[in-house]
Amino acid sequence: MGGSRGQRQPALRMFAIEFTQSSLPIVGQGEFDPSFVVSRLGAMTSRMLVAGVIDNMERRDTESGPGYRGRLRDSTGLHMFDIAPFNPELHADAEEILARFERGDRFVVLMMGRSRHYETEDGGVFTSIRSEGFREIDISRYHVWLARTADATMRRIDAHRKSRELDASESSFKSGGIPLDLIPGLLKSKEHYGDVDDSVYEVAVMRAISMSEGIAPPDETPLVEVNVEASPKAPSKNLAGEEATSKAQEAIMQCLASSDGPVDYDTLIRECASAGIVRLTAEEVIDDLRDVQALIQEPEFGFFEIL
Amino acid sequence: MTDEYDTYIDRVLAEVPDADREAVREEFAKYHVQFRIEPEDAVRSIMKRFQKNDTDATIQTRMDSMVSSKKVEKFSELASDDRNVTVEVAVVTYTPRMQKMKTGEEKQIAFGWIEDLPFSNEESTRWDYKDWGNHSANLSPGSIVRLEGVSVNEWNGKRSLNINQSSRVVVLQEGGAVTLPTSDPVDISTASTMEGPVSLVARVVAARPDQIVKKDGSGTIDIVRGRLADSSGQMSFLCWGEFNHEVGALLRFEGANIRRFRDTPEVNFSDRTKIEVFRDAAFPDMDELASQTRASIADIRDGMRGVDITVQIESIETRTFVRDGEERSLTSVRVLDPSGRCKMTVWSPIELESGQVVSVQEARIRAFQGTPDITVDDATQITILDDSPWEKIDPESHVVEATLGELRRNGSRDGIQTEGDVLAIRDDCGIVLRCPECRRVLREGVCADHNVVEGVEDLRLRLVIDDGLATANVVVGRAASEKFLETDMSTIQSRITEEGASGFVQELQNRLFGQRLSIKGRAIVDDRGTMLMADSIVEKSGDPVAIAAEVRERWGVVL
Repeated sequence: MGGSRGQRQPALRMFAIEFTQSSLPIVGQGEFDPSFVVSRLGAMTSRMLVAGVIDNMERRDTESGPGYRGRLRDSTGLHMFDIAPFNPELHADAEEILARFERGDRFVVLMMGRSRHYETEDGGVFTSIRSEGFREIDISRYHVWLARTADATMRRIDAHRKSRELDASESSFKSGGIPLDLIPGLLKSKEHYGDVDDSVYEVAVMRAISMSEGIAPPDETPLVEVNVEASPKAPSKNLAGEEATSKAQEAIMQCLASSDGPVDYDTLIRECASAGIVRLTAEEVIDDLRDVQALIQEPEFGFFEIL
Repeated sequence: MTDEYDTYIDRVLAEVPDADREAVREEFAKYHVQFRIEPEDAVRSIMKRFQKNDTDATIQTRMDSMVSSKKVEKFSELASDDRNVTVEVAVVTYTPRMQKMKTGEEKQIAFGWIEDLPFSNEESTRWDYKDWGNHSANLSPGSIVRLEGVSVNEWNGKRSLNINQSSRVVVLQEGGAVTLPTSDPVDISTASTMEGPVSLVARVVAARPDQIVKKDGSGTIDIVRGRLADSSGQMSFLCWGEFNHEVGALLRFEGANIRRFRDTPEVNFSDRTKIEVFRDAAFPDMDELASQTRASIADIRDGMRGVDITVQIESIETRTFVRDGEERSLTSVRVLDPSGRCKMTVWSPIELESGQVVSVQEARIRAFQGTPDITVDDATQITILDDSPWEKIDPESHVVEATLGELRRNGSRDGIQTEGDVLAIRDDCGIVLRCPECRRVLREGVCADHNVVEGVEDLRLRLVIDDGLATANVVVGRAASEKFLETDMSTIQSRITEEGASGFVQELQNRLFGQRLSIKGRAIVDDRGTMLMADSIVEKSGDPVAIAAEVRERWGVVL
């Protein structure tokens, strides 16, 4: 515990939608400087505490040994995560979770980890989490996490709204009542993202709160379209059955065809959502296109392209 | 034997031919060893000393040309290693202070700002300077002086001038037109976050003469210490020299300086600070200020002086010791108030009982093991109150709640309760062996101080808790661990012997990861973060409906 390492970064409570929409990495310069991914709401994420249902998980054999990758779904989107070969102390638990996932169990996992990012050749930034610890939690504790994360997100939304009325400078943010921990991130966010519409994050908060209060249990919650431009007051008309499947296939293939490189999972889901297809259907279609019809492939975990 | 002083001795002898070579050498050695002045910088002074009866101006002139000096008009012409520089400057500020030397002794020096091109219309440059030679008489703010034999100092890329003992300061124009850095006065709460020059309007609420004893035994410096207050707070002051104002006076200070002593800001006045009586009928009077100058336990910080505080006595422990052949007594008192609890040390005999409420005047605050304690030098500073300003506090149940972020910001405190989610369980949880002498944890049977010793078994847990905004390292001692785990050390010991230590840590991991804990104890805050020494830990199960309702209310979220 050298003093030069500075202080431990707190684990930010964050919904998937805020993290996956982040595209501003800041890489620490010194040996012990933390790296950050700055969200649109100005959160400087280094360590995070996230939760969600295990959506996918697989073992990966790498040069440095076995590791794991997976997806964690919360009420707003998906987190990509990995468990590194050099964290063998986590592997026993990872194996257990993997085995249960493969048996068909679905359950909620609480996970603490470091924010990471991946830059594509065309400059796109994708985010993921390198796990430092996790465990299965029950629904009641998941709801507590949702409520606390809603709180943390609202605090950032509130600061972000205040910051829009102020000159983008440290002193003006300070005197404008912006919490000190959010000032550097909000200044960086403003510079990088410009004006940010935060209504999508507020929708995430409202959904999380209603789940925590038991108003709408997670399985029955209709999926609101998770689109940056989405307005909470305009719910989409959801399609169903055959029509939905074919519409989803069309949307996915179109999206992949119009892109030069692989497209990430969330973008495909959003693409389907804006065509009025619920998440569950979209996911089934993606799986079907990849595993049954073999029209698309997944060259990099979480990224798809036409085969 | 070549002597490092020879060249310089030759210079002196060339100027003062009848001086004794050995005496000059001794003088150089004295300057070098005792005053830490390089021979080059000492030449001028030593010459003066040996020619003190000879005030012939021509000799002075010749002497000047002897020592190769660099004359510049602008600071920008100076290189970072220039010595023996001559430059004309305007003195902007002059602030004396005590500086600890490498040898450990304290010395009065001064620092301030000077500006080049004093007679020119061109834009001048401002540099810092340090006066190591007590030239205060010639460095009045506002005056224009010629500095001779000064040297350039570069520190962290910033250059400044050192005016040395051997330097000469020639006053070219007396400081009539004072160009103090006039700035609008700030309130005390703003000033307490600053460092450096400041203007203030404040009322004197305490003042008493004091002395600083120079550590090298060369004498004392008369100073005045006291406190200033306004409606935003209060601050200690230290005045170098005379302070001719009564307690209660409302004053305006220009060119004062904020310095930090340990964790506490203090405002310094020198004879260069402009102090004038200020009139403002609306300014809070003494009574009003007195009510708010009382500190609470949550407010006290290491290094504070002149603290008035009211506390309730929890327990008393007196011991006597002998110092300088004299028996003295030391009373250690545990005290509390509604904002927290701490220790109070009284360095003279006093009778106190637990449950009493006392008013303490002019106490000092010293940190012991990271937690600030009230230090009282004389029992007369303590008055036992008949009436308590608050309902009697029950020491058993008295804790003050604080978030991890508040603990981080407010510094070390005892008697607090906080909460956070466990996000890391250190793998050295469990049984440790401690040194029987110093209780330090042994590493492979070895104590860092006492070498190989017979270790004493102890149980402790080490965790990291986090609430999303701040984190803390938590150390849970044996008693609190046993209570929390509902088992005793010997049971854990035999389990670890059978199954190994990692099983125990894994079990803790499974039980505690992500778990909200409520922790009571002592917080120690330093530049590495917050450390909680837990007296008790309790698992907290959150009610999602209640938390969600709270969040909706806090942010006005309408579903």
